[in-house]
Amino acid sequence: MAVTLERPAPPKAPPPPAGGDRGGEGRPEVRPPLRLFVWLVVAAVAMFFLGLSSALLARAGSAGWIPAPRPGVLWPGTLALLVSSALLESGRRALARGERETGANRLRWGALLGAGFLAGQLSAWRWLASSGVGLASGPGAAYFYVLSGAHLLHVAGGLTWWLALLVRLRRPFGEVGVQLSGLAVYWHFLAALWVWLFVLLFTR
Amino acid sequence: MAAAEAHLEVHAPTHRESFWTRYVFSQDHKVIGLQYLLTSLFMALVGGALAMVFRTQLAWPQAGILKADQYLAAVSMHGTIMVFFVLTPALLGGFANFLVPLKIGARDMAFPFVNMLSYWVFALSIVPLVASFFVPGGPLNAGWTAYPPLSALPQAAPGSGLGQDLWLVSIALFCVSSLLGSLNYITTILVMRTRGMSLMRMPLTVWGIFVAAVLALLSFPVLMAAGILLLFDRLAGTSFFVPAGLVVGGQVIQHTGGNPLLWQHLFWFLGHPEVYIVILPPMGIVSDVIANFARKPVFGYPAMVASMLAIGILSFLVWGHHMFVSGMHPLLGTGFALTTLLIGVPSAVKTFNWLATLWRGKLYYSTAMLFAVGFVSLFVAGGLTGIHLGNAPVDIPLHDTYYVVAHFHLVMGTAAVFGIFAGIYFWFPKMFGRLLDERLGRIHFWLSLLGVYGAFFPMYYLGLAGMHRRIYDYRAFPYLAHLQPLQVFITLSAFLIFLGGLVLAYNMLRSLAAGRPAGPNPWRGTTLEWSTESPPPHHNWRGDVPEVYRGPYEYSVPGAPQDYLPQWEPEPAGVRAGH
Repeated sequence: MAVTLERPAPPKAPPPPAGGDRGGEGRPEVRPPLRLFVWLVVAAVAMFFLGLSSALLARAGSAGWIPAPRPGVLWPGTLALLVSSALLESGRRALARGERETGANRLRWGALLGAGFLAGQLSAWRWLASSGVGLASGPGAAYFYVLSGAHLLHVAGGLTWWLALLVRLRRPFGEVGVQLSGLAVYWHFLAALWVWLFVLLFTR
Repeated sequence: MAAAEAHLEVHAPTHRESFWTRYVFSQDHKVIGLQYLLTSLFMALVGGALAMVFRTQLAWPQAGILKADQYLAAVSMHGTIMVFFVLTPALLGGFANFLVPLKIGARDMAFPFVNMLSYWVFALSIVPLVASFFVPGGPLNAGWTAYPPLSALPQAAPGSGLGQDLWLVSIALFCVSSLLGSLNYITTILVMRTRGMSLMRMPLTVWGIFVAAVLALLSFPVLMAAGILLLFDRLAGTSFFVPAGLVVGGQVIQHTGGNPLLWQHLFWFLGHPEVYIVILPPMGIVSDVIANFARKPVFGYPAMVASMLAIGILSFLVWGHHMFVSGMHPLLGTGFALTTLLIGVPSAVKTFNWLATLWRGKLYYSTAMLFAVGFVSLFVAGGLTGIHLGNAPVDIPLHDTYYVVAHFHLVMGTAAVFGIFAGIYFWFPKMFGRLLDERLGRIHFWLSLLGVYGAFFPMYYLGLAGMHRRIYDYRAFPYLAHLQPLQVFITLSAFLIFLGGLVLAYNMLRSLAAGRPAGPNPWRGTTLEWSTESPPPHHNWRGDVPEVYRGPYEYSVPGAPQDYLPQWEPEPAGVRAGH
């Protein structure tokens, strides 16, 4: 796929403060707030998983905790997610440097690995279900299904955004670059979150 | 950015929209704000009507107008509707949407589409809630806090069936809507302020909305997590909250090893910040209104901001005081008691500053001012007993009695409603271009004030006398039966509140059609919303967005040509404003 990207425009000098020495912060009227928006989404999602994690910690600390069997596919899946996160970051930076082909290729491979993680999680569920472990089989299994399922929905949302950006790579970098930086914040968070959940679910 | 601004300048005056994009699926923050506000007021009529029905049951239990499960459904839905579908959306949907861009000098919210989505998800969340009235078993019976196992086992009570499922779906949708709104308010306030509008020049209404939005952003996801776990317990046979060995209807249930206390922790981790989500914006509204009608700067503006931030932080550290009787390590209980008492300090700072703002002011008791002063009165009358209830040893005998019902209805429920009323009378002219009728407004105020004190203050006594909050027919208990005359008095007072609400509805309809035209600045206000016409045009200002030159409360400025200096006017020669 031919990729036509432009380097981001240099930032404009901020306008002079209004109102003389009492003019406050002299900010321009509008800034691209997407990155801030994504950080706030991350804060909300983090609180959601904090709620679920604290429920697990409380339950796992009491009597009668039955851990879920660990599907082997989770290891390569986790690795795929971490590598996809690294590829997203390095691809994004390559694009910002003007290395169009390198950046686009890394983003494509990263998205593929993200999809691989998704497929891995689904196959982990199938493996558990075929082993006779369902939602009501015990607290460990219940928490695994709910936590990994909730995480997977967030990953699916992020991957949809990623794929939409891959299609739009032909557009000027300034617009896609802002979105890529927002996506990177979200995706790195999901990768770190999965590591936390993995440890939480299988070290009890 | 400059190009975008120029684009707006060119297109704003000739902006044309269809009926659907202008009034229904509008992305204009003002329309969305009014959609939120009017929907909340409609839901207030529903929640209020429920209260009238169960208060009638309590006053005259011998008439038996409700069955026991219908009574529980009525109180549960009243609480749910008032907290989640009236107070929260009116303040953190209605006023937040309408006022934030106008007060900070922005053309609209940062993400108008997300804003529209927020309202329509909210509207959608009402559908399952209302539908639950019409399903077999009726709405939930488990109280607005939906404690398991009553809420977790479909066979536990009539309303524990489909009605409870619908409640959970409704609350989950409401959480999503609230998150979308909060994301927008925080981003807009941080990024979209006009030139000169530093954080410490923001009106306190904006500060209140900002802190409340942060609380909503961080607490609603936890309720959503709890709700999802409860849904799994109900529909998929998991045991997150249901303990083993329960016997319901003579049968041992299949669940094993869950913990109902876990729900209480998760619920109140949201539930207590939620109290401040609905009281911080009114605190800001009341500050704006009192400063305007006392023609004085708000006393101690930095302390008002700092106390809002302190309340916001502390609100995450007090949830355990709802659970002193649920089983808690005494040391933990002491910790929660300490943080609860600590939150009284910034609350007292605010009360002191409102009184100091009123002190020797040129007071004009418009209806908005009456409701604002009424707010302060209710906040004190309800807040002081929070000190009693925050102490675990005092709380334990009073827990779940009418003492608690009186406390939270005064400090959080009716105080927030008075803040909303103050805001409606103050900004109605900006919203619709016409003033509300002041005579009807005063009738509304006095009905509300007398009704609220008559209904809720005696409940302190009921609570001390041992009246539990969810008793359907107290005549079964000899020590409560003789309290029936007081119950009748409370119910008659509650009717006054509802009557007051109807007067407001009539006033709004009448004034919309025939109210006195307001002009851009009927209250001689200083903040940016008064710099544009009433109602404001699409994108808020026809010309440039105004710049800001000073703080929000420059009233009675010595040497000024009039008794106030608006934020948007450059400094006149020879005048020295506060900051």
